[in-house]
Amino acid sequence: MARRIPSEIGAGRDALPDRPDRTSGTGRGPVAPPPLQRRVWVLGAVAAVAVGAGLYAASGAPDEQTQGEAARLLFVHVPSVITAYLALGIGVLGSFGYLIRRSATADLISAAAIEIGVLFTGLTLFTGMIWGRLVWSVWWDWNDARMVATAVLFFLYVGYLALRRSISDARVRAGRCAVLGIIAFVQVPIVHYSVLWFRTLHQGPTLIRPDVTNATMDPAFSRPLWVSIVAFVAIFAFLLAIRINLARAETIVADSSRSGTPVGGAVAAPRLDSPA
Amino acid sequence: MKAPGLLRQVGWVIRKDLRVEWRGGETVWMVVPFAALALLLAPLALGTDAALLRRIGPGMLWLVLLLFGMTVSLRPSSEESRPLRDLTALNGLDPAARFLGDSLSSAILLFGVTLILTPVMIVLYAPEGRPAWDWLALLAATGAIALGLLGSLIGTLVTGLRARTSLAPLLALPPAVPVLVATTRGTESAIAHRSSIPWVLLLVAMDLALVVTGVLLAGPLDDTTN
Repeated sequence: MARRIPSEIGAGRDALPDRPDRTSGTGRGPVAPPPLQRRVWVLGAVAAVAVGAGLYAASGAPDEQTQGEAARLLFVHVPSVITAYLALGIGVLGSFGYLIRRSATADLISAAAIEIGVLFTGLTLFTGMIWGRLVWSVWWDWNDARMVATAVLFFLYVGYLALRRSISDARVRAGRCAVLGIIAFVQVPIVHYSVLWFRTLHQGPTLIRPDVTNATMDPAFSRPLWVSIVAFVAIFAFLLAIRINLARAETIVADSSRSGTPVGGAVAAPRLDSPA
Repeated sequence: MKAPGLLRQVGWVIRKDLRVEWRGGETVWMVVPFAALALLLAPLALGTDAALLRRIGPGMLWLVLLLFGMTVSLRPSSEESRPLRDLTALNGLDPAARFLGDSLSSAILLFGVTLILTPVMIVLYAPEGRPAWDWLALLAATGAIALGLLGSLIGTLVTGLRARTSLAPLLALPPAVPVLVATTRGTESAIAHRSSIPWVLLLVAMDLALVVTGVLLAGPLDDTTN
């Protein structure tokens, strides 16, 4: 929550706020960046506990018959891709939200979610390559449709982030990025169903599959996998909350610099008419 | 007075873009020679093994068309500035008509580039088999339309940006991967006298999806152009 603060150190009571100001610098005076809210810290604590549980569950899983220890990458690789889908899904919903309602908050959530989605997509590629090296003896295999499709997805969203950085006007940036966010999301189902549509080295879908009742994974692996997925989703929620907070602070700074108002109370603008 | 229909407006934009190209000649005198030069230089980098070149010929053709053709479809439109856009809007030009017109004029130019470069590839790389020209023409047309639509859509996203030159290819190339795969595999099939129907259908589906997306998003995108 944004709070107004005195514009000069030692300023009197008149400078203190009578009520919180969310106008982020465009109102009556300088505005401090919003502090991290308590619920963000709660999310962080939940994520830490979930990560601990995930590590415990993953270390307790048995060795896989043919892959041995390499199969343990499953507990990072699969949750990464599911979290990436979730993040990019929230991103596209935010994009639609912006185009329909012109809501700055929707744009902010969309951007934050996609940024974290890119991080998890990169992690998916990285862990997939390590697994490929251990099991297939190659870092990269062109016959793996999912690997190639995921790389295309990664670069598509890197382009989204690049577009975002290239536009300074908030309205233009939000509109164009919303359009690109919608176009880019088309690649997500292509990545997921690539293992069904193409002849490929990658195994078929195990968790998110058309026939959901037909489980193909032993509970000794599926249980720790679900715990890991919960942990990754908790990490995502925590990162999303922090990123949204940061984006709000960035907006305040941008607004303040446009209105010529210094941010924070430690620095006061020089007054030319004041006595020496 | 009754406003002219969408198709008529699309026709105006196409005529305007082709007239600009006719006067400037950027595609014919710069893009085509540059792309032909790339086809000539690639074997020098990859090795002049005749068997290898026969195999990679169709792929090289479409890779070159994708990279150089994008410069055609991503070129700044003549009415890119806000005042000119406002002027055309006041004259009743629909943003969807502008999008379709820009896309189709790019597609016509790209189709021409493909018609010139395909024989160049066949001469330089000598792929096995006798080309089925009807399938090749169909692949060239559907592929050019897809690249034209994609280029116009992405071109609008980067309108007026300083980083336009480097940003536009980064945004346009990843979604163009299905076009590259379909045209390359389709060309291989056409040269080997196998059916190219699945690849043509994939391209047609992509064209339709891009038309729908572009027409629906043309309005919101037009609002962000300043």
